[in-house]
Amino acid sequence: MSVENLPLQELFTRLRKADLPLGIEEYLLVLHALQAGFGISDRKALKCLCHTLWIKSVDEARVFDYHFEQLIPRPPKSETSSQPLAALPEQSETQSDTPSPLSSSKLSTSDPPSPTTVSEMTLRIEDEVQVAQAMKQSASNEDEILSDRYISSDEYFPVTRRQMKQSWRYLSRPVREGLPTELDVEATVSEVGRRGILLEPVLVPQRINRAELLLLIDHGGSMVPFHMLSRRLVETVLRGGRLGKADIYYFHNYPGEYLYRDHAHQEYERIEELLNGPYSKQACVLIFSDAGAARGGYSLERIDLTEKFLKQFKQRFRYIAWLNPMPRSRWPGTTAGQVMQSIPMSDLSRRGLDDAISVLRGRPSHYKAQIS
Amino acid sequence: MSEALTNTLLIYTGQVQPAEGEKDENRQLLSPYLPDEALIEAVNLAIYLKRPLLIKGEPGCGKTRLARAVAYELKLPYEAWYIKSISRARDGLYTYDTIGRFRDSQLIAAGRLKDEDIRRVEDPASYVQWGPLGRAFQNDRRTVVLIDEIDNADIDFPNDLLLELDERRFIVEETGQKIQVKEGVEAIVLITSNDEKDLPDAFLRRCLFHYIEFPRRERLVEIVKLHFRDASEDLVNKAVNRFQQLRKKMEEDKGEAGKKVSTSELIDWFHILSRDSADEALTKVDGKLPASILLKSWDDHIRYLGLMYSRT
Repeated sequence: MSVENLPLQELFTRLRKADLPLGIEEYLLVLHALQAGFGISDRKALKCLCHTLWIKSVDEARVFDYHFEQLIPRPPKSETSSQPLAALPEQSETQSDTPSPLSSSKLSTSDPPSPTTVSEMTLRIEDEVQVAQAMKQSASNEDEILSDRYISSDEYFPVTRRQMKQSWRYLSRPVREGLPTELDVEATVSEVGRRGILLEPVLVPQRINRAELLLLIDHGGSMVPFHMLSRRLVETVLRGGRLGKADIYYFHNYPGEYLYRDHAHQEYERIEELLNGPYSKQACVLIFSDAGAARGGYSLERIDLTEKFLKQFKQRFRYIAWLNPMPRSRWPGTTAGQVMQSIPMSDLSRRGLDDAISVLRGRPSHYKAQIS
Repeated sequence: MSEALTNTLLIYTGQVQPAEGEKDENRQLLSPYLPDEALIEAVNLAIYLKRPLLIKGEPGCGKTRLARAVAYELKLPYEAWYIKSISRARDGLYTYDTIGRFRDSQLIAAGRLKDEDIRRVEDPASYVQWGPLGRAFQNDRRTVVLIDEIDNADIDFPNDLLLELDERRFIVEETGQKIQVKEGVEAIVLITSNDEKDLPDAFLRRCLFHYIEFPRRERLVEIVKLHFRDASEDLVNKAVNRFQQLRKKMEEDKGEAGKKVSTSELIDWFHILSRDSADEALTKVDGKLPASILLKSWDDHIRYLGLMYSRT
């Protein structure tokens, strides 16, 4: 395995496509390190080097391992002269197939990756495939939607984790709260002006984000393909670390009398109690549901109940938005088409998510203007 | 790694350990540290590429102690910056005592200061207090800087450090003084994170990353032996076995996420064991687990205390 012939660039491109935050600088960094003699002793060392320089989390490491196994051929086991033995003990997940003698220069994509990584990968992408399939099935009678980007592109999720996190960051309501630690220069100066001498500086608490978010998630039934997406929403809300308070509630199809704290509907809370709960009037409510657009039905009962629930919530909370995982073109003629008349509804794309969040910040929706 | 490098550059090997009872300049006891190969390689890359190294791993696996060990082996100065929830990025560079200066100027106005004090007050630089990074940047030798638990701070904190870590320079705004690291003495920055919050992408992009895996059995034995040089082979093996049993059980129950017993707790436990005579320790190692050291939540206490006792 000579350094010049390594398919590093291919590996790099694939990782970029898999949404790893890598730039040209990172690529040069690896070359730089290789030139300095790091990671050239064997395959394991190279893997270790790329890991350190390109990977920033355990999740990314899985993606990396998969592509690395595919692109960089394992040294044939019979050959002992040039390949140090150190590369061997690492491969505990012994390959069942005997690797054919590969010419080291060949970029071998046909090399079968080890079985464990494949199953891991399929696990990871399974949900994304489900989303794509759900969209495909529901759209199968209309051919023009098949050409939609959801199916043609290899990035099945319309919004990545990073983009979600970035969007959530806009949801902020800074309030001064907590221990006074920051110097209020103006107040201090005017205090000095009043007393003629500085006795004590005036301190004020730091600004912290007091934005409250209630995320209501439709779970089960037609939402099954989007569970991965809703999980990502929850994950990014909670781990974004920005919001003052974020509560997640689940319901099925439409919220009836109860909302549930877990998606298995074990722990319930009456909607009335929730409305009397410790939320300020400025708390934001974001509903994530297909509103019947996934199956494409039109149900008067569902419309009635949804609107009743929305009315209840609108009386209590000032900012409510709806996020629909189905593409906008699938709404008309379904229950969703009716529901969107009474609430700003966005589809789950980057723009849609940003739009929903700007509604929660008290700005008008872009889409509403288009409808009227 | 090629041999040519070793002559010109700093190479961390993880082999040099402090002698028993050796203390650092703050009279803190130095303890040995046994990194695995991947970690050594990562440290050397960080030294060579002059990039910060971000270290993650479960609590108690030795993230924080690495920096001290690196500084010890390479005989470099060491600066530690422990991040708290109210830490601001600038605190690591310098703090400016505005209040003190204001007070002094008030005192001058009231005619209460002597001439030499006035001279000091007139120099704005006398109110600058350097932080750990600020000191490291001005040191004439490469300095090992530990930024501990960076995820404790506000989510924007790491972004505020980008320029300083990237270009290794900063400006003291109050005095206009420019601090620029001299070529060749760039600080070796090691950053630890407990994964409480996600770090911003722009920051991650500039860091090298290493995840410290939990050590395997042979390694655990080595680590214990290194800490307790006169412990008997038998005792070490038994303690490590017992420890691994407990950990395995915890892994089964709690999965990836829960708090499990880790290396630092093993060492604490062994410390207790090694107080006793050899025979006593051997019986104790099979007996009741010292709950206060290994089982730190009430749930753990109920679940594992009974279990481990009845099994032996």
